[in-house]
Amino acid sequence: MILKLTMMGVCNLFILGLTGYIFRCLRTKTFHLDLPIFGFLWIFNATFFTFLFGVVGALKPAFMTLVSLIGLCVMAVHVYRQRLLSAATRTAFFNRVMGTKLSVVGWFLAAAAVLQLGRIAFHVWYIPPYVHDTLTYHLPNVAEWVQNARIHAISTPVIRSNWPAAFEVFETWFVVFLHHDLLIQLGSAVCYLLAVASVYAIGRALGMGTHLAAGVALLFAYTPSVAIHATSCKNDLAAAAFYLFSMAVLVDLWRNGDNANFPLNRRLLLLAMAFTFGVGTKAYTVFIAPGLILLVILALCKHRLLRASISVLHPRNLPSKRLLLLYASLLLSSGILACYWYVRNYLVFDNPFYPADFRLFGHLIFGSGNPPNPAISAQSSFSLHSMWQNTRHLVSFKIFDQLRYYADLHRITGWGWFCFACGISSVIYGAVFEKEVRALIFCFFLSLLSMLGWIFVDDWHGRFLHFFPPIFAIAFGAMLMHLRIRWVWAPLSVFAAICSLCNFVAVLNVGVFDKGSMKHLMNTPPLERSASHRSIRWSAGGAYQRVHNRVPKDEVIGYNVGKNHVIYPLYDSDLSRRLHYIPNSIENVRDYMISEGIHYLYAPETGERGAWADPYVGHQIGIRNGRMATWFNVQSVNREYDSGTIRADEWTHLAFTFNGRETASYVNGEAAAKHTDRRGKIEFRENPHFVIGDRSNAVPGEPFKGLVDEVTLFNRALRQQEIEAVMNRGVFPAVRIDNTSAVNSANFDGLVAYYRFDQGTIDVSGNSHDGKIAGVVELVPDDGAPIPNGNGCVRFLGRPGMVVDCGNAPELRIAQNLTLMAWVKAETVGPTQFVAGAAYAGGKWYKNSHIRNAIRNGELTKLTEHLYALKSTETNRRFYDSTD
Amino acid sequence: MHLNRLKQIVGFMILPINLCLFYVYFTKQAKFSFEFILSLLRR
Repeated sequence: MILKLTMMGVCNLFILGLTGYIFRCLRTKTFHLDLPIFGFLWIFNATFFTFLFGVVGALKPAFMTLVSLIGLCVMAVHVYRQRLLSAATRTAFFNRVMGTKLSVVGWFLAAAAVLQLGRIAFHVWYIPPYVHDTLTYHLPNVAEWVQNARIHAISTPVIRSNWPAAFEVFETWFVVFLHHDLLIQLGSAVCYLLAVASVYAIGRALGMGTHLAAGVALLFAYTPSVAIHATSCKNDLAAAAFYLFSMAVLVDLWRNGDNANFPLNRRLLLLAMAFTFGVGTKAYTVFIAPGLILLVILALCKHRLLRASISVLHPRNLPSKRLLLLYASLLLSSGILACYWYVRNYLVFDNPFYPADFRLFGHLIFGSGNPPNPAISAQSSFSLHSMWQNTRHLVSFKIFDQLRYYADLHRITGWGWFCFACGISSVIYGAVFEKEVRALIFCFFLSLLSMLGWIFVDDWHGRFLHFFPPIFAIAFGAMLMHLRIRWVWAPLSVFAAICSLCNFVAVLNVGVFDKGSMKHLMNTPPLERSASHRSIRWSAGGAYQRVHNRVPKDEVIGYNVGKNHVIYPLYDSDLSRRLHYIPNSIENVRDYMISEGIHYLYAPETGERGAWADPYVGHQIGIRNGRMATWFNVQSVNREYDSGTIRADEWTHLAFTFNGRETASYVNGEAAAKHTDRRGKIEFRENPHFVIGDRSNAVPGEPFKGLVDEVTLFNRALRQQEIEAVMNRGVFPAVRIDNTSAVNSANFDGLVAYYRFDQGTIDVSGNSHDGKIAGVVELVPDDGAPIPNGNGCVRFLGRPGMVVDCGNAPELRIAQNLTLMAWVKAETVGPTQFVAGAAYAGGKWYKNSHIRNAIRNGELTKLTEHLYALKSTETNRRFYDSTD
Repeated sequence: MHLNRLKQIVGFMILPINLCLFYVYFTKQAKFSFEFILSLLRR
């Protein structure tokens, strides 16, 4: 370990020296700009250094240390000759650092910074990677590269692994020396610091004092989504940091114009580097670029620099030869870092933008062969419809953050207390009163709208928007700057601090661990903490740990998983486990495994009887394959029945009853199917919400597309005549318009909830289980189901998470004696679509019949959950002997 | 001059507006934000 740490130290010293050297050529001698410039250059150098070794297949600590030592020697000679670190320089630096005196506000800000940094340090040290996306496709890249000592396209069913991965290269820097992921979260933490420093620089460039600008940067730093992503290992914060860094360079140009300390050519160089580095990190850097481009134009026009910017390349304006060489090499290296991934994907997949398509004016230019997939998020072309719907969804729902903050930012923005309670009003104030802030706000909004136009309408894109919340803090700072009266700005500052404190409290535990498992993690030695830890989300209840316990270290683990499955924990924290993907196309699994020398197979989602790996729990109705479908679970056995016939674009009435002994499905009032094979109570798990338009835990969901009306839930099993009556007339008299007059339920005992959608999504049963619209769901006033007085209905767009959520009151989860009914008019009736119900669905059908056959035929024997071993042959007897 | 005064007046109104926004956000997010502390208090 000491040797590893030494090598890490030497290489870091080299990168620090190299960064210092380049920084000396590019610095502006303005502290607030030099800070992010140095940070950016350090990240860039570490990434490119790792990348170079990775591409040539020499990603080994020894090689890297050797080169670093040579580099250090050269630098030492250079420093000695040029007397770069003279005693006077050192003294001036230390005097500046040590001589800084902090005021009370300064101490407060410093304490706030230390508090947040302490939280991040705690996360880095104690908590292994836990975020779904990082465990599915970011970190497997890192693990494979470190194992094989080279950067390459890895073989995995998780197609997102092929996205540009410059940030993963940077993360590799923190792993390759220790050969352990203990410090891997430092990658995102460093990008977090760059983003915060950039916001500080923007504040200073706008004319704020040091304290105010530091406060603004801290307000941004405390934003929940950003603070969580500081240790998430995801690359979104890196892309945002490069955006904000560019913004800092541009705001300074815009405010202060060109000057000798920071000439235009240097700014353009840094902008080009940040942009290309961003493109190599996340392709969506292009989508958020319009705001930057607009600011470039504004700045050049304001200072009449258009001609100067064009003549930058004129020989007269070029810097010295030495600087020119440096500029060229920096541009070339950042270009390589960006282009490598696209060229590689073009060579491997014939599509530089794989796994997404690329369209131009509706024409497919590059196809990926993958169906349009919201999980990939890039819809491959700009769409005003997406922009509008995403904006609506953001403003009407996501900004309220009605769920727990979590790195996925599912159905929330995660912008937190400050942005909502202080930022919105400040942005409006700035847009109205402050001319220069107005332009900046416009640039940020332009980037936001462009981003929202390029991505699918779905619930998962909150993580693409980290670049945006700084505008709330900046506008707030600018407002304080202009409010002269102390007792106006002082309470506002205190209020902002309180909001940030709320943000801090909210991310103390991001829903990943309970107290017991946190204690357990803290008591585990640092090098043994692993993403396979059983209490970590996505760790499949410790299934990965059991795999590590059963499979000897020197064995290759074969694996077969879905396209969005967590695989990183299989590598273990020291990245010692070798993995081999066994695709579905392999027909003879046994022979293939023997030929590849693989004795173990990790294959989740494999019920041995072909059942759900994680049973469906609750009750729900829907449509699939042109038939009515019902899902429910009694005595831990999952039941799904298809019955009747349903046609597209035709109003159809669906009803489902269960009385503890018999289930019945009715289509248009006629009994379509009855079953008596399950008796008992319906089971529930996770307290699912009663949801209309999709299943309760819509991940990714199978949402309904079309119209729904008259959703009714009874806590008794209605007879056929009653169902017919409700179908033809609705539940009468349903007159509740507000909370004062409830329905006369004399004839309909047991009515629990009734959604007519004539007066919004309220529950007209009188039981107050009012529905709330999540996302974009349209109320249609005049096109309701064909019943008297039933005018309104609701239209679902078939998008995940866009539902009517009726809450999770216990009365809505009926274990026995229930009737669930709805009128539906579906646009398509082929794919599975959930209409209404309260149920938790956790599993997927296992699709690889070859592996299932191998299990059935006894070629594979089960060792533990999801883990199979090749059955006895002469060559692998010791594995068979070790089975249960 | 008038604009400057208007700015100060509007600035004076910002805090009550922010308090209202805080309350709106509180009704939506509070139980998730403070669940960690609440869970400690419950023990």
